[in-house]
Amino acid sequence: MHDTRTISRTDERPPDAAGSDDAVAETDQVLSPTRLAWKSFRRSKLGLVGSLMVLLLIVIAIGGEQFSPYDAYSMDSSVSLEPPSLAHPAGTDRFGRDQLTRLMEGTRISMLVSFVAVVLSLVIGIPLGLIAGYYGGLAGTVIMRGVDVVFAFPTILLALMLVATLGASLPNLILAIAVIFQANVVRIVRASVMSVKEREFVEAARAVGARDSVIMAQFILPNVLSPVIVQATFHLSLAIFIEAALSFLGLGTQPPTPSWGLMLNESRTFMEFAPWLTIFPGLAIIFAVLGFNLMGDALRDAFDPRLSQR
Amino acid sequence: MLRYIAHRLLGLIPVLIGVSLLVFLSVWVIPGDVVDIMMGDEMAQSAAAIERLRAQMNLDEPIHIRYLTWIGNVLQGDLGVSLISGEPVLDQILRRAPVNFQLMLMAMFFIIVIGIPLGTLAAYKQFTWIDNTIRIGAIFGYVIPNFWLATIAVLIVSLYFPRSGVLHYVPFSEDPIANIRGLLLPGLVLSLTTVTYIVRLTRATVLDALRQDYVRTARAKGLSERIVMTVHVIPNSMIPVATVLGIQVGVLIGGLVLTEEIFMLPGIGRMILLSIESRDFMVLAGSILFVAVIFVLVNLIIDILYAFLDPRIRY
Amino acid sequence: MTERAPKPCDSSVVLRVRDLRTHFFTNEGVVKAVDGVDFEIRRGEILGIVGESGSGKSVTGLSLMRLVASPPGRIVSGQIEFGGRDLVEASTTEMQDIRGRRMSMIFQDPLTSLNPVLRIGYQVGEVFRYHLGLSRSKALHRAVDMLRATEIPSPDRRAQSYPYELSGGMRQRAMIAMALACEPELLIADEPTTALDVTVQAQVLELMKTICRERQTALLLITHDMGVVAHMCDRVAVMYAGKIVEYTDVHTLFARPAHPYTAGLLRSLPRLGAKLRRLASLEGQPPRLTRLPAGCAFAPRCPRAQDRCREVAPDLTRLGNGHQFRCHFPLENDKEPQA
Repeated sequence: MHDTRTISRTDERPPDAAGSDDAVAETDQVLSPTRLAWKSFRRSKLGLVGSLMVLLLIVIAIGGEQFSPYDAYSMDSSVSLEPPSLAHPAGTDRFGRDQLTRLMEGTRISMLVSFVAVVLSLVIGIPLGLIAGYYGGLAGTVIMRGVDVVFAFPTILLALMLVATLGASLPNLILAIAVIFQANVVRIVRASVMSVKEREFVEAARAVGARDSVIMAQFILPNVLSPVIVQATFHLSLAIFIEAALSFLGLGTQPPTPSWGLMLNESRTFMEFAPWLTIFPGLAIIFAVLGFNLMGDALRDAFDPRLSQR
Repeated sequence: MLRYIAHRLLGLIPVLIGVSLLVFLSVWVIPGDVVDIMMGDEMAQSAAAIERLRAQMNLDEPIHIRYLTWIGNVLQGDLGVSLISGEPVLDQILRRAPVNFQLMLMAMFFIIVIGIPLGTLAAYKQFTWIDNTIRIGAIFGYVIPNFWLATIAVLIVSLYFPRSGVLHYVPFSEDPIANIRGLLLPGLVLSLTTVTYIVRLTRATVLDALRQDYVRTARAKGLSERIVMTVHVIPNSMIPVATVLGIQVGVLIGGLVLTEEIFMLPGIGRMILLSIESRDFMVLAGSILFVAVIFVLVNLIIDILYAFLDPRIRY
Repeated sequence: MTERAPKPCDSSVVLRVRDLRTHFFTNEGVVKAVDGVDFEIRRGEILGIVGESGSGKSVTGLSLMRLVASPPGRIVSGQIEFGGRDLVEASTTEMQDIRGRRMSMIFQDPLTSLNPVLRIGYQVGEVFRYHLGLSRSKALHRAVDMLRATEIPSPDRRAQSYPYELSGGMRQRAMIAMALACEPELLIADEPTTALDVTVQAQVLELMKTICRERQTALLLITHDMGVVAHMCDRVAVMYAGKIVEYTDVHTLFARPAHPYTAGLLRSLPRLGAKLRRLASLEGQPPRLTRLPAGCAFAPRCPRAQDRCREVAPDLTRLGNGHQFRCHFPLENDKEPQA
């Protein structure tokens, strides 16, 4: 999870996701790959659970503290460091802020960072990958050398270095994560393009004189999309982790913004007499990472039935 | 084989140049005038520090000269001196490196002795409760952030076993046993994510190997299950695992920063964090470059090992 | 047709299979891959099992070796008499002792059937090490001898090669060397030449035939290729949907087939080496083994099928000359057996 490269490799597939075969046998009719993938995805129970978890996170992220009677920022020293109770299900922090409200507000930060960073990485990575895969040549070589360099750094360390030098702030954190992820996107897009571009339908389009831009948009991009979507899902969970880790180190979100990692960091001072401040942000991170991972697993199985027959 | 190694070594050169450029650019150029930043930071507002910085970086020279000077020094083993303490950066790194080396070894040890056997067992017992238990455990272990787990571990130990010495780091040279005791928990926490990942991966590759025709052949030869597993299934399924282990070294290195911070270990990870806090860019650049180069070399070694394991790669 | 093999001087039966049933228990239902198969092989004899893919011929071979993947597969009933005992009842250790020493098997694709990361000599030598307890170097030495016996050029060097460095024919020769290393009484060859070039096919088949005749090894040859059957076999069992539908000597089979399915197979044979994948004279697909019809499984494709065929599964008919078949309305040309 903590490294972008490991995710697209062979990995375990949950057994209940192995549904694509039955889908064919059951109907005895040819479905389009997308329909097939969708059918398979819907069959996966873990994928459904993951999607529901993600949906819940998104709803909370949109609503944020509005769902709570408390305010995530206003302090009330009379209820400082209260243990979990009916009034404060996740306790309060040292300034008397309701932790559940802050966790909900933190969901907003996590989702914002991860979605923006992933979208940004796609915006950078897909065109670069298309160029490297379709044209190759000098541009392709330069792009791939750049990718190699990004991969030469341990992920967290590169994020750390970029944020430390750009300055610790939310936009810089997003930028750093996007820079790291785009390298992986470039690699995946390039590999898919190279495998698609020699296929008959592309050759045929070229033979009738279709322009490169048309071929890319109409024939290559759709085939590249499914591995990219799968990877992007895993990137979302990885981004949540990186944001939390860097904020934990004081290099991401800055106080008083309630980010999960930052809350964990702040809790360490009171850990021994207010452990709820340490436990709940961790559970929030686990919940989010698990949700996106389960969804990613199911998506990968759905898009690549060959891998799921075990 | 030698040709393969030579080929791989040559391929490293552009990557290493790129790595050094990225470190140089991000540490020395992107932040604008480093001196301004340092001036603005009360922590490091020392005239001596600025003087050291000016002396080391030829700040008035054009950028490519600065890069070439820097990389020339680096190639001669001179990573510069700390802006704060004036100590050579390489000395600091080498003083702290044993802690990291030990931690990495410890984590790798856990990964190999826990991850690979559990993954193999799960595959061999597919569809049984053993397999299901291991897989569910692996999914959860995989999504638990290790820095959170480390924090909880520190909490539990300090609350319930305050005198166990588990949280107390002692250099190896002073007391080897206390040293290992002090690194046990950090090593375990550091390895957790990778252990669970390796469990999942090993399970998948062993299952894949078990389905191969050559395993059927091995059984058709009348080999015992033990021989089939140890000679034909496990070595072949370890080939992808070995590659991923190399990549996971990067995860471990990244994890070091967090682990050292939480367990207060005097390793390179903490040094990087301290250098960020004190804006000691010389130390930051030197240590990140050092770690990245080590990471690249580890991956090279893994690739060579891979070629050694799988003869088809060599040619 | 080729020359008749000399009658085996020792007609002792090496393997006798009775009412073998191997079923697969899948989510879609029970697949009766092998459903009541009887046959026997004598010393030095070559028995062909022929049929389309999915007829159960490969599963039959794997069942004899007790190598059917379990789950989902399981031998549900029957006997496999081999070497004086019933292999269906044999323990895992007993089977390990028999496999590779007294009964060997080679497979369709020699590239995937060999371990890609181990040298050929090591893989052949394993048989000697674990069955005869030889040291690694002695086993390697014997392995080189075996490679020489299978006419692999410069066997010393080839023993040091990895599978990907050998041609397809060489690989299959290495597989044969491995299978015959301990001079087994029975060799099961599952489509041994299907993955090879046509010219190499003939050489490899010739080699198998020669070695089996010399050593009096019984050979169970599983194939879908009637040309191979004609070239190699003494007797033939034709399988369809898990059952043997016709069982006779190769001469009778080609001259006077009784079962319409056999006749269809023969008509689809334009020349030696032709594949059965597209059968000009056999319309339709082999049946889904989860949904077998009530009567004769071949009835939906059979040109001679009557109502009775669709209702009652035909029993085995035995003629005096040992010719057996399962058909209500056999072809008429089998009335007067001749030598």
